[in-house]
Amino acid sequence: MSRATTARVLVRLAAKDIRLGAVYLWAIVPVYLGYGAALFLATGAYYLVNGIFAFGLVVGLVLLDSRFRGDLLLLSLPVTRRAVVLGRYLTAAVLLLVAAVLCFAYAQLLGFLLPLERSAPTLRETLRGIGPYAGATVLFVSVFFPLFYRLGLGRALYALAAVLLAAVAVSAGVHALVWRAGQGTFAGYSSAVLLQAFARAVADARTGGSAPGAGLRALLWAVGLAAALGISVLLSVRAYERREL
Amino acid sequence: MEPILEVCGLTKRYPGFELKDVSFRLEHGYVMGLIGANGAGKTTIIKLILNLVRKDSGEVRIFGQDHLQNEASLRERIGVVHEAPPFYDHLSAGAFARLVGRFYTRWNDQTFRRLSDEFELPLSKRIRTFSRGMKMKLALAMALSHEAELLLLDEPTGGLDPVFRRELLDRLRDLLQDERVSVLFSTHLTSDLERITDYVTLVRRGRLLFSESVDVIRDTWCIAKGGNDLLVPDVRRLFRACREEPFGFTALSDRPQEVRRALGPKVVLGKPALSDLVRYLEEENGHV
Repeated sequence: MSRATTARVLVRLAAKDIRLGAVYLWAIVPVYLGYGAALFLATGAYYLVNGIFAFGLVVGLVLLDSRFRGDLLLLSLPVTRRAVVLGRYLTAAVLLLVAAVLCFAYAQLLGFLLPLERSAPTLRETLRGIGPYAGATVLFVSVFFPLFYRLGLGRALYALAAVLLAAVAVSAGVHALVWRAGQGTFAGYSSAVLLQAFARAVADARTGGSAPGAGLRALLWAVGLAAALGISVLLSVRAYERREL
Repeated sequence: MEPILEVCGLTKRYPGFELKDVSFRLEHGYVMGLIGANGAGKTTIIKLILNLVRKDSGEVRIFGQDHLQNEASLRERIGVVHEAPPFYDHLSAGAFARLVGRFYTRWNDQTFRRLSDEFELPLSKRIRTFSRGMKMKLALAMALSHEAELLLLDEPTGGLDPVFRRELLDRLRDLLQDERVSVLFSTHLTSDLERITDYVTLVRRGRLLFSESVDVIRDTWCIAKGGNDLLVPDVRRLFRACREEPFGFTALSDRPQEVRRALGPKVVLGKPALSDLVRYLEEENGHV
């Protein structure tokens, strides 16, 4: 199959996913309206919830597709297993983008409507704000998909929860160690390098990125994410090519 | 001419079930019935052909190519109807067909609309409101709308009432007048096949019993009826399966001439229906 054909199939798969979930995407609007105004006042939380929202959309679509036995349908069509997996990643990317656009547009709208002292964030500020959370969402997706293709939806969600709990435990442990050492920093804990980059990126976003070394940390964060995503795609394709329906 | 579908030594092991060494070939323009009782392995064979499950050994060639090579382009030429067809049933039939049709380069929307009209399918209605029969017709209409050269139908009549089954089969028979299409039709309702099939492949508990043309089957197999006093050991050996009733026996044999020679006019010999073959061979123990 040529690259152009593959690209066309991937776009069709993503379009299929979006079309499939379109009815349910509308259900999110009232939720958005409900939480948005309150969270907008606490900028960090606003971006965080948007990240969670994007991840929720991805899991929701996978759930919907599983409910309708989408695998059986897709693998009876002229589509390879690799394309099915890559199409799902493309869908996740599109949803993430949709969440970011919604986040920005809604912030603008609220900034316009609400009598606030500060103005609505600019596009640059929004990207800075949502960037780390979008990165975290990509990380979640990167962990979720290989688990999903290997274990199925139900067990993948349990496994993801276990991974999250482990991450929180590690994070809490690092925090405790840092606090105990009275250093107030993650420096010196190499195992927490991603966590460190993430925390710094959030801090940079809040301070406008003026902290020293912000660019390097952003680069480190981006490289880590790209590596995680690449490994995730490989593992997902491998797991799905072995899956029996 | 190369067969449309060739299955050779296909084997798949599951815990508690094994499909072993299944071989058959489907020629261009013919209909093959894949028959056997529930759990015989029919769906597994179709899933193996489509690579929905991975074979342990054996070979599947479709249109002369290994089924794992160019999988996507092979599927372009195959129409599939699953036992319980998967649909996004919150969508309307028309929207679903558009969604699926985009994946086929040879999708013909006019053909789909014509078939939908013939099947009386309301395309604007959500699929979840369809009966099982309507869903089957929708799946069939879709399978026939992208110029498929091979149709794989897995129990398409299962769960349908007799009237609906007959209607569906009549439609299918009409559509198959065009001999460009070859069909592998799996069913445990053998009466469905009698009118449309050219070849029959019978599987029992994961083993292939035979794969022959209907004419050969009719010449090879016979049903013998006679008095119980005829059932001496030498005669019993001529039968694959035998049912004894107080008023006489009915037996299935694949040696009609020997039965005729041994029993002469004392038995009545007849051609078995496909359902007789399945029923008797299912009862047979350790003879194959």
